Amino acid sequence: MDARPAASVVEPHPATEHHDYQGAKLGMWIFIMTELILFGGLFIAYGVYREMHADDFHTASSELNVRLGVANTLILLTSSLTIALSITALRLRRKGQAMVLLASTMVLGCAFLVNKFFEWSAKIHHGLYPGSEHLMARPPGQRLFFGLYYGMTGLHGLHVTVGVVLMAVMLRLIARGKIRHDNFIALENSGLYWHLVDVIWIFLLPLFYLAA
Amino acid sequence: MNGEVYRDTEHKQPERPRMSTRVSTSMEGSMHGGAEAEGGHLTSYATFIKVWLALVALTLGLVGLSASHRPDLILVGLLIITPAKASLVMSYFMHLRHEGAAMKLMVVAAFGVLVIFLFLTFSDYLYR
Repeated sequence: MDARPAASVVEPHPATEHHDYQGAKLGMWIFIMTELILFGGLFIAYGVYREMHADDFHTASSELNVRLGVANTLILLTSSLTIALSITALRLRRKGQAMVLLASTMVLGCAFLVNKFFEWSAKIHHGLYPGSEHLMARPPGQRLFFGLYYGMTGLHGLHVTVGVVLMAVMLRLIARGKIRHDNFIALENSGLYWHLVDVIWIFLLPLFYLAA
Repeated sequence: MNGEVYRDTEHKQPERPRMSTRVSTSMEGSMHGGAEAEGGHLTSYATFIKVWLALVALTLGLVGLSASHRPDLILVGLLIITPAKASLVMSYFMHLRHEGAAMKLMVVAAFGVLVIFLFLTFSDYLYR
């Protein structure tokens, strides 16, 4: 990128361009570890408050929609499959198949967010949102549960949104031939990010939806 | 473990496409040390689909256990099934099992730090 004036004039051939595949992947993994620590802190907060208010957490959790939680888990697991298959397809030079699989991942990501929207809407409609009169009248443990629920699923939802945007960019790069069977690290790193989003949800499901 | 990795590559890959990938990357990317060094392990469609089926089965199992309303079974779901699902995703989808020792060590270290935080925090809250 720096001190390579020729690059701006002549587009380097994909085969001779400098790629640091291992370096790029290591960088992504380091980022993933910081995400792990970020969510890990929230999981510890959840653990401590649940220990202190076990009954309240139990009661509050029973108000969450288990079916929606499980449906969203299956959606995310399937989207992890489609993006993993998309990378294999691209490496096997099946560009069209890779793009269809990546687009499916995007659709599944959006379906997750639509479910989340309906879930949150129903809760907010019932007066259950941080700071609401209805919630503030409840015991502190339930207030903490819903605070963590909105905070953690909200932060996770933000990651899903970022992931969907990232995949739209990847789809465009594949279409334009910038991501190819021999230069796919950007897609691979997007896949790693998406799987991380999946891993976090795997822990959110039993802690919030199945805690009752 | 290496033997298993090798077997996976040898038998589960669709034969023709794998060869075409090998040839192309070793020709075009020879300056970077060949196909495996440049692109890493190529996991087959079949392996990914099997892992996905296992993940769906484990999820349904987890829901079943939580519906039993037995605290011991629910604890099994939380402490065994959930980490098992996460490690399946990390090992196969994030292909950690085909990464080098340094990468694996980094992930184990990060989880280790998290467990230390968890232990220290709980030792404070549970025994104060």
